[in-house]
Amino acid sequence: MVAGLTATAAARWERDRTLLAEVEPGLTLRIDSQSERARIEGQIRVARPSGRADAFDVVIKYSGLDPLEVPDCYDEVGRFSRIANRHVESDGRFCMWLPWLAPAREFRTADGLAIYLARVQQFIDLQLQYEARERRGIEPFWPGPQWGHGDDGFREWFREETRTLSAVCLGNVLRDVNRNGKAGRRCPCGSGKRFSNCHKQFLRDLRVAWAVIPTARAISYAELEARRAA
Amino acid sequence: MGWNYASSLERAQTRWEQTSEITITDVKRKIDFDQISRLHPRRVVGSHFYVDVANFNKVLRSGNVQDDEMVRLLHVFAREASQITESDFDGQKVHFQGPRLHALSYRPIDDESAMAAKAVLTSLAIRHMVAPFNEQFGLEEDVAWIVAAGIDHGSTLATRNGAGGDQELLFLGNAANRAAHVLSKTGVRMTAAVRELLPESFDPYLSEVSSDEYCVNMSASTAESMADLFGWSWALATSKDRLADLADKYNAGCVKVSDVKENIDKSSVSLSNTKRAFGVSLFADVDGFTDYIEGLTTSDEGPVEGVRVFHTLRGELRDSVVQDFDGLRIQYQGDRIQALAYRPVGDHEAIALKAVELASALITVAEEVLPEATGVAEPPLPVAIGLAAGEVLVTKVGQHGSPDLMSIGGSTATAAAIEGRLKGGEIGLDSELYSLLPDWLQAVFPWSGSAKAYVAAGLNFDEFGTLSESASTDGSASSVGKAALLTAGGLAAAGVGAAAYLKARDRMPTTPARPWSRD
Repeated sequence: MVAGLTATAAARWERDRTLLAEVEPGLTLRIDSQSERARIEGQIRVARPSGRADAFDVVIKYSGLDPLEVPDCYDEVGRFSRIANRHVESDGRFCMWLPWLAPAREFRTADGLAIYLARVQQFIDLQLQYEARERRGIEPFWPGPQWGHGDDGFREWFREETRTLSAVCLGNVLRDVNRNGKAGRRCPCGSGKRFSNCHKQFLRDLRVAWAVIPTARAISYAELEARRAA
Repeated sequence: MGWNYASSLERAQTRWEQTSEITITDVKRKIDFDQISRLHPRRVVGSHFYVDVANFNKVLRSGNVQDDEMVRLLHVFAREASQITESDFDGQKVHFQGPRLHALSYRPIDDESAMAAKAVLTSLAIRHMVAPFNEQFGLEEDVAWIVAAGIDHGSTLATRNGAGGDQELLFLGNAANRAAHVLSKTGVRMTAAVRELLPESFDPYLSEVSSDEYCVNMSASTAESMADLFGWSWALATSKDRLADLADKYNAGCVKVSDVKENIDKSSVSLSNTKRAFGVSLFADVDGFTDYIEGLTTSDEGPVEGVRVFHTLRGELRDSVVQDFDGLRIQYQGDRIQALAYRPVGDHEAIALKAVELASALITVAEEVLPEATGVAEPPLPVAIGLAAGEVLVTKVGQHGSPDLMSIGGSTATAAAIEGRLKGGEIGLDSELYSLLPDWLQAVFPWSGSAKAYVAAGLNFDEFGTLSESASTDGSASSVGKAALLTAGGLAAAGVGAAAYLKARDRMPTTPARPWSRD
């Protein structure tokens, strides 16, 4: 039992420790209550087409001692080139998703860590595919779908999420970004649906995106203007 | 079904353990080579010779002779060549590699000069036999068969490869290999080792081709006289009579060809049950194996280790082809294996893709499975693999009781030729096969001018699978992510409980893996 943790957090840490021992014994959970840091480190195995499992060094870092907050995964030994095209940042962090699309809800489930590890394995598998394609000169090297780098990624996401909205509806939605309306109110997009069943999640994600990407707000309004002009 | 590392390793380890009691003894009298077992190879001193219909594939490709007629002609040729080798000269037929006879002269024991003379005269006899053969079957000008031969002498290890009833006699060592290498398009050639052993009476008929190669030119009547001096009974007139009998016995129409509609049963294949199949011909040669075996002869244990490595590697190559890919093992040819990847039903593109996957599995067997199964890390024994797509006839030709299974078609010869130009670890494709592959796989095989083929180096099973997976990525988690997850079998092999993992796997989100970069 780690001092200073709530009972829920302590139970989750215990469950995650057991889960690691069962499914990825190469990974170890370390919790330092004094520095309030938690991390999982060691080797994760990734299945290869031949049925073998290759091991990769990873460090999964939590921002504090909250076991329910989605951590970041790092390649600290430099196994994978730290380039944007491979979605590995200069400090070795895996950019597995847009920050506001981190799978927070699934991570909170009882099997959240197992699902997270599966996502890490999936990401490493894509890295291996990238390496194989690069070695053989098969372009594009990144094998699957990906978001554009930096602002482009936000712009793509914004367009995908709002592609069905007219300029007027989009304007109404953007107007409500920071409004906390009454429970049960209708969505500002004009669909007639309840807000909670329509664009509530989008606006929640948008708020995070604006906080994470400095240019995101300006891009959002530029998109609105472009739609009006069109 | 399908190849995987764990089962391949298990089979190889089992085979390695099964051959731990190998004992090698010398051949000191006439033996029945069919009785040689895998555990008791025999060291044989003798002259190996290959007699080849040098223009067989050229005639076949010309289309001037129907392919079923070529099968009939080859059958008659094989019957008469076997008769000359075994009955007239008391030699040992090893097998026919398509139109190429491999034979051995190992008696009289302790008279190596007579062994060499027998090999040379047998080669000459078969070469002269082709004149009445061409006449008998009306083969003139461009379609007339031309025979060439290559001979070397030395000590080789006779062993058998395969499992159960799927076994073949084969020889390991330089002499068996060099004989094939001195074979050229024309004439009867031999190494200096053979030249030195020949009696002086051969001198007038020998000419030097290079410092280590000699050629023999001798008329049929002289060859008959020389054979008679040694007590061998070949005569060209006898061959001519036998050919006439064979032509009567195996008349036009004796070869019955049908399309493959189900997996080919080797035991039922015959002249009258010849199968026509579209497939990919495969030749996989163990690069440097002969040198490896030769290098081991300096110690008592060396050859034993070499034979064990050989059985383990060849057995696993065979099992991968036959068990995991449903391919047809046509023949072992010294240290190479010939196979056919085909499907009774299925499009040509699927067959082509499967054949390249098979080749990548064989690369992994040689470079990764073998060292781990045997613990013999040095030297590595990479395989060179030649592949060519096309229609072939699968049939059996030669002596009653011991016919040789073979596939006859332009692609067979092309695959063999490509393989001969490759280095270990390389896979080479002909243009027909290349054109059947998807774009992503074509990119893996650039054109090589030296190999005259599309060549990829070091394409192992994992890389093939990874590239294949990357090409099929359509954004769904099922195609991108789940391949990276350990299967229940993989987890069990790693000694890890699978329940939680598989549970997580089932709960993998269906949203695509879609990474982003801040920069």
